[in-house]
Amino acid sequence: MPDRDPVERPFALVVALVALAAWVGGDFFMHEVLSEIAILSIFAMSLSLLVGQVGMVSMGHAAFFATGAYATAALTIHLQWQVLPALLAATLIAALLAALTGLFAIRTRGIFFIMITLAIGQMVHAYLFKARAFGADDGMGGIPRMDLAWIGLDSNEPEVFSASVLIIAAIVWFLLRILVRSPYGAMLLAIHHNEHRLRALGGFVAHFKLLAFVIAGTIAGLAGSLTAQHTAFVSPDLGFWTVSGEVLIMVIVGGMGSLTGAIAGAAVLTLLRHTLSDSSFWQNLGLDSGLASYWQFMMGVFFIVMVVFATDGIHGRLRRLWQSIKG
Amino acid sequence: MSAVDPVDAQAMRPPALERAPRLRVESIHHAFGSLVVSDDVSLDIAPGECHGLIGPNGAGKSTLFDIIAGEIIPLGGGVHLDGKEITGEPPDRRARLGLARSFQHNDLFAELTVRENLIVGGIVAHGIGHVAWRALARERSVCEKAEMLAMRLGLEDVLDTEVHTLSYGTRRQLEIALALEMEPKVLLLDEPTAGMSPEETVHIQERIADSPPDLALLIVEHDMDVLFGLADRVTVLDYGRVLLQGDAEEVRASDIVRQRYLGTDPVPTTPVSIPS
Ligand SMILES: Nc1ncnc2c1ncn2[C@@H]1O[C@H](COP(=O)(O)OP(=O)(O)OP(=O)(O)O)[C@@H](O)[C@H]1O
Ligand SMILES: [Mg+2]
Repeated sequence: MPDRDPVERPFALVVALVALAAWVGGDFFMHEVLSEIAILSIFAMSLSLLVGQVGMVSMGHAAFFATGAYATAALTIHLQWQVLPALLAATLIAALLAALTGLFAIRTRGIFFIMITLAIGQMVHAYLFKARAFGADDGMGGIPRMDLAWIGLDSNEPEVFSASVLIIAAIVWFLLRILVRSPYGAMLLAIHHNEHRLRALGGFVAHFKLLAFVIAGTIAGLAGSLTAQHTAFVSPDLGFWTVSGEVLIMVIVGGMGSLTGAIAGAAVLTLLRHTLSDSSFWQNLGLDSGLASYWQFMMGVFFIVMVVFATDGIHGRLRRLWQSIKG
Repeated sequence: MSAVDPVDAQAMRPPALERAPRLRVESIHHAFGSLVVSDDVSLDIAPGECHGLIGPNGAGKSTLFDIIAGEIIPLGGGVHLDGKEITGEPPDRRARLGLARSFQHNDLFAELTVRENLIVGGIVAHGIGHVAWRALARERSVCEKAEMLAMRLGLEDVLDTEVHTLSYGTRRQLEIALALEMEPKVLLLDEPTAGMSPEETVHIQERIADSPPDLALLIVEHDMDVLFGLADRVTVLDYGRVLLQGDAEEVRASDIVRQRYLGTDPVPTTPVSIPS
């Protein structure tokens, strides 16, 4: 829609600069964290398209994340594929799964959409948990990273891998931003606001929703493939419903409807998790280091505070700040 | 009994009835549980013809609209558009075949601005909803058309105002503008002037009157001046049954309509339908 959002671009610029500074000044550990954040950002942006733009709240988005990760693992380990073709194939497989499941999911709305996506996620998790070929509940290890020797780089170096995934995250941001600002993006927003009227006008509501579901699933699959390469390991936990819940929280914390917000949400939650689960953090505060094992509880408190005081997330806060400065 | 010479009335109308009907509604039956809302309702509308639909509250007028538009699949009967059976088609298919409607209760993109509402309509009308790789701002024709349409409707001052903050009458104008924007072959208007000020009513009446000459129009209207000012033919519906159907002048002259709608003591169907 004709520039609805004055803060998205400056916000993205700030996030990009912070990421660049962190990459330049980062140590080994920082590059690991940056890679993790970049991958989760891609995952969160894909869900942000569904939740923020179309209003489809999925609770099973981890299904496509796990599919991308497992497909990468299986293709590289079982079939000895090169990583780059495996990444493309894994993304495609996630897209196919999204198309197949989306055919059913998009027929529902509201709580029923939440339930059916939850069921899709749990089915994928249950399958991976039992499937011998994919290591069942042990998962699979030893997944290689993409081969960057052709440009003279080694992706096993943390700073090389983090740079790669940061660049991929930036590309995903650009592509999704083009999509959101296109006529198709306006149709998605119209579905969000009044699906009934759009259908009465003659909009291809079902096609539009299915396409959005597939695009979101595809990008989640890409994120999954990258996480498999990052950790060299996949387990059924990647598809568990709590993963879907966490990425949804990232989208909400960042501010629904904002791609940059999804990145910020992924960063804040990842950093918070690392900080709160680190016993030296609590020691430095002069508190019992045992508090570190209660980090999930603390995250819950943080999330409640966010929902009560800033329902529109980081991006929404910034937007209101901008409006109050302007007028 | 006729107050108007039927020969004269015949001469005034375009020869619409001789053409093949744009919209044909054939013995529709529908009921909600035991409540019969459509009982053998039939009507034909030719290109360029305006068909009025009147009847008391709960007569089944809006339900008939829902059936024609595809929101409700009737228990019996058929709907044909340009000779093509569309009874089982979903609402969006029908809309793309050239059937547009406005709703009795405004059904807009309330949190979007007037401009954005019209742009959404324009994207659908231009069939560019699948374009995902080009910025909307580059679709000049859609954006300019939205502005032009707003201008024609006198909405240019509120172009960038969110719809839910507008007055009821203004929202009503937009409701009709969205339907007109589709450049339909058949247009269904459900009480277009309800809740509008007299000026707004005149304005919208003009907009409807200067719609394309081959548009087939079906209109529900409680304001008899507006209705008989537009309609060529009229159907009177009561408890889902067709009480009377015929040329506007015949229906206007009939006892039922004179007593119930035009007499000294008109049935107060809606508070705004007081004839001036
Ligand atoms: N979905 C539904 N389920 C059950 N009953 C319904 C439903 N929709 C409408 N009705 C009932 O059907 C009857 C016809 O309703 P309808 O809206 O078609 O009347 P109408 O002629 O448009 O009236 P009004 O002048 O008040 O708009 C009413 O008695 C209404 O209560
Ligand atoms: Mg009605």
